[in-house]
Amino acid sequence: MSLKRSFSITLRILCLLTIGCRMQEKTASDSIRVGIITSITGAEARFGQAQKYGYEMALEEINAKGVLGRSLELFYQDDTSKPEVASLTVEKLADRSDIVAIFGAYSSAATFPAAAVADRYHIPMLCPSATTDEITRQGYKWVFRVCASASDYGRTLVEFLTKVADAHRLAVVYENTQFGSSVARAALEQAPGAGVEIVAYEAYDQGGTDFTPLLTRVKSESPDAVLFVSYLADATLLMRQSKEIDLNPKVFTAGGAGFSLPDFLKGAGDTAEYTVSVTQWTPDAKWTGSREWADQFRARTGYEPSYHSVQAYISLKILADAIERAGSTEHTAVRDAIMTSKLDSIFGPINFNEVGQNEHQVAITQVLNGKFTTIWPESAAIRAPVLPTPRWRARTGTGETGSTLTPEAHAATSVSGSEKLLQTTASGLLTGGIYALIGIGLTIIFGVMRVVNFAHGALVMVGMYATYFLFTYFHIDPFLSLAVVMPAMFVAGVIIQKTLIAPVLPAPELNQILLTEGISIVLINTALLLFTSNYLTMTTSYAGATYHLGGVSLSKPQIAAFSIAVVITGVMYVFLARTSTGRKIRAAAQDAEAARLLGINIKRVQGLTFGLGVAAAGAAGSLLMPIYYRVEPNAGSPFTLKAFVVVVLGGMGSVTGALVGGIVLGIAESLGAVYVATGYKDVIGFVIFLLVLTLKPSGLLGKSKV
Amino acid sequence: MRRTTFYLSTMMLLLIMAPFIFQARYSQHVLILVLLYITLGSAWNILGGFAGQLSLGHAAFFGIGAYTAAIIASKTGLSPWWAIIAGPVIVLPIAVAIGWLCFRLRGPYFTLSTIAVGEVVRLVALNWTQLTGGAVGVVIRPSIFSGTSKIPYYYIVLILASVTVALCHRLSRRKLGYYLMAIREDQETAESIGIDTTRYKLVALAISATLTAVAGAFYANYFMFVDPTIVLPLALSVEIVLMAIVGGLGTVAGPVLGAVLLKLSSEVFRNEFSRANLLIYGALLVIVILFMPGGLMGGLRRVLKFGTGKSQRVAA
Repeated sequence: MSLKRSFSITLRILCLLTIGCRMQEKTASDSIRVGIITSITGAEARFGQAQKYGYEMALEEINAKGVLGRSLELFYQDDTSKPEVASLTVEKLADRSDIVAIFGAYSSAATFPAAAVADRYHIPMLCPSATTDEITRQGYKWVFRVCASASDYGRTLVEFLTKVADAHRLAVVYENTQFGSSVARAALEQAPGAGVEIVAYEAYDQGGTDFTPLLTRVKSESPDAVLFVSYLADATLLMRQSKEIDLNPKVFTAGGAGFSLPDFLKGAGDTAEYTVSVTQWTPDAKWTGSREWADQFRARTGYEPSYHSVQAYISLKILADAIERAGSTEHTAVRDAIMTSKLDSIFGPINFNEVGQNEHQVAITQVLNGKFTTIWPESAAIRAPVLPTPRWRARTGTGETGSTLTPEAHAATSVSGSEKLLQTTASGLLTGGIYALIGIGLTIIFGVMRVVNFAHGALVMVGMYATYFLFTYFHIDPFLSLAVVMPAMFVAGVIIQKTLIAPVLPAPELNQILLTEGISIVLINTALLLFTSNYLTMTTSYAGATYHLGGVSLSKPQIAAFSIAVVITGVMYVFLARTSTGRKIRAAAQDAEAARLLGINIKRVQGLTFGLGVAAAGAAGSLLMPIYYRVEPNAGSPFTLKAFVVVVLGGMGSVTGALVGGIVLGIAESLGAVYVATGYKDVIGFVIFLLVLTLKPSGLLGKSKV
Repeated sequence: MRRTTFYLSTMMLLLIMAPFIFQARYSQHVLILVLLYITLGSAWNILGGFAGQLSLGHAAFFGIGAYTAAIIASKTGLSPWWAIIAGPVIVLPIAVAIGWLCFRLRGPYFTLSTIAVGEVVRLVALNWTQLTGGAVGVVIRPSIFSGTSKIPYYYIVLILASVTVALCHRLSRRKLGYYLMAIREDQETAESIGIDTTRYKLVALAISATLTAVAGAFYANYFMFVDPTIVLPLALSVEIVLMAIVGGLGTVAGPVLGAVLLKLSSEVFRNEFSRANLLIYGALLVIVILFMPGGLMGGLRRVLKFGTGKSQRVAA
């Protein structure tokens, strides 16, 4: 009986493995142990690294003196940037009777559920960086927030807008995450009381690929202030595309995060100039020791310090002080001591209120001459803000031209309905060209091998990195780098096909899907190990160059990318239709068995096709770089699903279909983002996808049923 | 037969005693996760493994079950356990609608359509802020069991997993199971011998979706927090499928083995390899699929020179 045997094997494996996962407690030294949850891998790994610098600096200082005559020992836990893992690590730390307190996590989304667990187990937890208001609204007794909260961001920004910038029509654009929505909601709640009207309130999915439609929608509402709540990758693109579509509010404001990182200055280039952002801390903060600390940080790490490091640093210092005052490492005593903390620190005075919120005051900075400069509140300001922000077309370089502008230049520009429609359609069309190119790669692979390639987005990412390195180290223009990237990716594709795909072709299709998913995980995480999760940004000489036709702005690199994508499609089509190799591929796609009988070397055709498909994905990566400006290990991921939609719209296996499908999807998304809601943009794509799939499975152009 | 009973009862006994052997809450948490994924993998296997309808949208059912529990608790003040009844009531019509829409598609087209459905559900949960709280999510407080013990949760998920696996086992020996396997092997032939394929596919989907939704409701109660990134991502759908594929598609023990191996190894990797943990996980996945196309069950059977296997299929 095979069932019996299999159960007995299951049983044995279960016993073995569960024993293996028991925790081992080290009890050798008498150090004071604290658990630190942060993101060592995943999307937020760069912030995890910033926090780690802060913790390590504090640790060194604390251990030089000792706490209660003992030393501190840190136990790092990786939350892999996922909330469910963050709370799991709290469980793990809570098991150890020797853990005195827990720190973390990095993001709001991860900290929120993790804090619930710490509170349940009665372990003091210090949250260095999570801003979502929810954390302090739960009535927790064991959770302390060191940084200011989202509502502090909202209140301070609205105050700044009314008192300083004299702006009363605010457009809010935020990433649809725990962090983004909590800051946006705070602004929404604070605005009416201060006489600020919210004219647009738009959520977008993190890691956006094109914000032109969203910004067009914002522009049509003629706001005199814009609030962006975004992480770095999106912050960079939002500013660059604001310039491209010529969005000119009196002031661009931001809710910290991506907009207050030193890398933002690098990534957004001259478009970063004049942006105003809330910040938790700056190196020029007036609190004693800030500047010295910043110097020390630079000397130690070689990086410009951001507030994330300071928050981690100060959190650990708060704990050391509390343990010292409590004279004990017992949880309740430590908790009570944290509650009564009174410190003057480089992060300002530390003072927790009854819900465990440190009454930290946020500041507002403006990017002036390529540097974050504190401009508000007046007590902390280094200099006065430059307001209103000069219009894009009036800017030359990064000089201070703001003061020479007349207020009339900032009279809200109205956008006519037809201009809005034209702009939306045009940007949708241009994005659609790139979607098409990615779709073509997928469609020919599917056509010949019936393999749905889940690694397609990851391969686009590989193309992006290749382009980035060619540009940065060899000064090869992204458009010229196609000549290198495409052949290299072709070879890589053939190798992947021969070694990995070919063996699973006889297996069930789900094995193939999961194999390509496995390849995708390997590619993304190899990139993570090699290049870290830091965004690598590049700026071409023509970055942000635009044609302005009437009220419609078109990005020049986007037009170039679109044209090249269409040319590549054309070449592919001619190749498949006219050459003998192309005919072999088509024959194999129609009926592999019959093609084999006719003497076509199917294995060779399959290798060739996969190579071509991967080359197309790589080409898309190259074309994306001048538009997208930045690359990180997950940059290609959104394109996998988009490619599926494109391919189904056009009919699986059809090259011209992919071109049409890409353009249809691009325009549909763009129109959806502008006329329905940005948050539902992707829903529109999927609904069209489902309709086409169920009503006309052969695609928009197809004739026969599948 | 008596030896089967012996092995099964020993295993159950060990599982019943497990929380007393592993008293650390972290170990208990890992055990709970393993049992949860056994439930999910097995429930998926009814549709994906037996009936051959390879869904990559099961996160939708899990998420709807989880959100139902969380919303019942936070909006009505009723006990979130009502979700165990309410979850299926909400999920069933949705599942039938999805089935009606997607079952007209075959092979990769069906799989792609389930991805689209799953993503639509996720995006709706993310954007329908009034109902779901959007990205902020929904908190369940206070917890259903007072205190911090995990043992009650452990037994609930143990019952859930046992019921699901037992159901799969019965199914594999009953008419319905044979019908489903006939559909998987050749839908046209199945139809020609008088099997109402759409009806039985819908039945398989209904059972699979209901069990997944109940698991979702359990998870919401246990985790006390739901948001779209936790209960509705595509990655969750993929992970559920991995349990069955790595263990052995269409076998009763496959998802059990798969869940044990994958959940434990991902914990070990995360603890041991830090930054490279997902890389190793991905590489392991590639290797298993390349060298054990029938999953661990297929591989084991080959290694241990099992017979042809009376009722189980090696996907090859």
